[in-house]
Order: sequence, then structure tokens, then C-alpha cells
Amino acid sequence: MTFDYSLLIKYAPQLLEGFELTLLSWLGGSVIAVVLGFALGCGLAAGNRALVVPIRGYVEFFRGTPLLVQLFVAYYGGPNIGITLDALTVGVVGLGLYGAAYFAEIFRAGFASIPPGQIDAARSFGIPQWERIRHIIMPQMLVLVVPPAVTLLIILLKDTAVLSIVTVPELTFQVTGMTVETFAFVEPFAILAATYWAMTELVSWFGSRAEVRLGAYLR
Amino acid sequence: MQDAQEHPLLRVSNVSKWYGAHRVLNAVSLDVRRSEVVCIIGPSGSGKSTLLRCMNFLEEYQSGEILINGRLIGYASNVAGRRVRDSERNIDRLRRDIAMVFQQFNLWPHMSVLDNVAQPLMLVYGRPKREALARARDVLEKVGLGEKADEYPLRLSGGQQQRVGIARALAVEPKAILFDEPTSSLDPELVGEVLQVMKQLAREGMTMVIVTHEMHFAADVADRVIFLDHGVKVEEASPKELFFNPKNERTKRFLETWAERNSLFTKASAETARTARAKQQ
Repeated sequence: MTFDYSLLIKYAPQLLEGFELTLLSWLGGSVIAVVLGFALGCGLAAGNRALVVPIRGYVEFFRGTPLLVQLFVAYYGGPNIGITLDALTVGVVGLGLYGAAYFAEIFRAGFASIPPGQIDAARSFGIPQWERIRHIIMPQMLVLVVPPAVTLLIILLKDTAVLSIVTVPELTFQVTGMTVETFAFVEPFAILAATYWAMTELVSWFGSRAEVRLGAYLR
Repeated sequence: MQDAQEHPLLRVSNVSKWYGAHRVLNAVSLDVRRSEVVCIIGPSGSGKSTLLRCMNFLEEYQSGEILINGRLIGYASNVAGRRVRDSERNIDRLRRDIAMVFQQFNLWPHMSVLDNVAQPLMLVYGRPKREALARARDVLEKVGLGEKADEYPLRLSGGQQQRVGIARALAVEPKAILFDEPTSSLDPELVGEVLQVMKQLAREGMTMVIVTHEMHFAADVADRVIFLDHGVKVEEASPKELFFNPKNERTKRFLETWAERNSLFTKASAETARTARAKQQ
């Protein structure tokens, strides 16, 4: 069996475009997931029933159903209720909403892991709530949150492949198209796997560096 | 200023607290005047720590009042005259006068020792960083930890961590310091260094309320000792009175149990010493 490099060169423009879109939808989806997830996590940590119940519902729904189904319903079912969005918007927002459910849990657990005694100490000096969050809770929470957050970012990166199902022309979509046109399978899927792998390695490398730097006080 | 003369620094007046149906504090009253050292003793679960935590409103209570310099902490009256929780701003303001030292130290592990001590100065009093750090160095020097300023708390021994906790409390120049079993989670050989720092503070006239199981220490430094049991103030007296001539049966029993345990220990060690001597001969 031979590996036909010329095929990759021939399809380089499509692959590059696909790569850009993969990167874009991952970054866009991740930003939404982190920001929304943080807000939801704060709501869960605050423990107010009026907040916790709807947030729980959100988390359970988005964690309990496959991303594929969520995107499908939003993209193909949306027009039925008068919401017509382009594929990329559905993909990015969908990925963001999906990831936010997981991030909410990660941040909630992060908040819960700060020993209450440390907060008591801050309160006993009259340090106001916002300063407590900023100077005592957040820096420690970040350290605890980094490893699961990196894992989740990697999962979201690979999940961008699902966006091909709603016709977002990202990398997986391009590669699928390539196989249909050329009947070559090894080259397109090899480059696809290699690209995802390289990107996830890069993310986890940054993750370990952040973990070491932020957690210096624990060693 | 006249107010300051009239009011005790800390007044606990008829304070009761319930957890559901369980009453943890039962109409407790006590005054702490300036430069006084008051020790609170009693069995575990007697409400000692809860009482202390109420004093700077880390805990709410259902009835009674706690006044700092004559001002009620934690509660205000609403328009209907009903008691409601005061604004966090007002609570934080009154807390400034009363610092606290905790059984588990409760240092902030992600900050250096120096930053731990300087942080309240910057966040509460808005002191410039340089000034706060200089002040932090001074108090760390005072508790004998000048050379540990740049370490992280988790690298220090328990005794050192607790001395950092005391330095952090001292740095804000509080009118009083509350100590919540400051030596209870320390290895026995580290208790001494912490008690020594506390004795020094007592000599310098710091107002202190100390929840402790260290009877010798209480007998040594306290102006008054309070015995608490099942949330009730059973007895309050000078250490001499309370330890050597307790009036109440429950106080007597508590002290006897304590003395028994300790004399047992003394007997046992005397026994060991005797056997060792016998072997040598």
C-alpha cells in the first residue's frame, strides 16, 4: 500500500479551509462554554434554590443528550419554530451550550473545594465578598479546575467533527468530501487524525504548564 | 470618647442560638474589658467555639445581643422594628476591631506568609502595598518568623503556621483578638511556641478571648475564666477561684476528670522513671 502525498497537496486549499473552521468553531464554542459554564457554576455554588433548580435542569439536559442530536434538532428543527440559523452559528453556539453544562460542574466542584475556614478567616477581617472571591477563591479554584478543564477542551476540540453533520465545512466535512470524490480513505483520514492529535497535544502541553505554574504553592 | 470609657470592649448579653430544636447557646452573657484576658473552657460540644464565632458574627444567633464598643454587630431594626440581618458593609466595618485566630490556622495557602499577613491590610484598610508589606514584616519578626516571610504556609510546621495566623491578626492592630482553640490541632511539642507568643501578647495588654483546653495556660494568663457546659455559662471567676475552689458541681466534675487524666499521666511517667532507675541499679 502506498501513501499518495500528491492527493494531500491537491486538496490543500480545502483542508486548510477546513482546519481554519475547525479552529474557529472550537475557539468560539470554548469561549461560550467557559463563560456560560462559569456563570452557571457560580449559580450552583451560590446554593439559592431559585437558581439551582433551573441550572440543574439545563446541565442534566445538555449532558444527558448527544451533541449530535442537539445540533440536529437546532439546525433542522429550528425553522419549524421560526428560528433559522446558518450552520456555523448553530455549530458554534451548540458546542458552547453543550460544553457549558460540563464546565458548570467543573466550576461548581472548584468552588466547593475551597475549605470554608479560609473564607471564615477572610470574613473575620471584614474582607468584602468580592475581594474574597477575587483574592482567595479564584486563584485556588483555577489550579483545581485546570486539569478537568483541559480534558474538556480536548473533548470539545474533537467534538467539532460533529459539526460536519449540520454542514459546517470544517476539517472532518472536507475530509469526508475528499473521500467521496477520490475513493481514497487512508490519506484523508490519516491527515485528519494527525491534525486532531497534534492540536490536542498542544492543548494538553499548555495545560500542564498552567497547572505547574498556578499550583506552585502546593509543592 | 466618653462612650469608649463606659462600654466594655465586648459585651455578650443574653445570647441564645439554636440549630433547629437543639439549643447550642443558652442565654450567655459576659463582658470583656480592655486589656483583659478571658479564657473559655468546657467539654467539647459545649458551645465554646460557637460563642466565639458569634462575637464577630461568623455565626448568626437568634436572640440576645453582642456589642462591640457599645455597637450591636450583625443586626439592625427594619421599619417595622423587627430585627433583621444588618448590611454586609456594616458587619464588615465592626469586624475590623476584632481579629480572629483559628484552630486550623486558616491561612491562605496560595499566598506567601508575607502576603497572608499583608492582605487584610490592603483589602480592608486600603494600605499601599509597600506599607502593608513593611508592617507585615514587622509583625512576623515579632512572632519570630521573620526569615519565613517568603515561604508558602504549607511548608511550615503547625506551630509556625499558627504564629503566622497570630501575626496576621496582629497586623491589623485590632482592639481584641479571639482565639478559637489555637493549640488544639498542634503536635504536643509545638504547643509551647504558640502559647509563648500569646503570653507575650497578654503581657503587652492585648485584649484576648481564648477558647482553650490548656488549663495551665488559662490559669497562668487569664484574668477571668468562664466554664461553659451545654451552652450555659456555668461559672465565671478568677482562675484561682475557678480552678482551686470551683463553686459549681459541674465545674468540679469537669476539672476532676481533667486532673485525673493528667495525674494518671504523671503517675505513669513516674512509674516509668522508677522502673528505669531500678534497672540501672
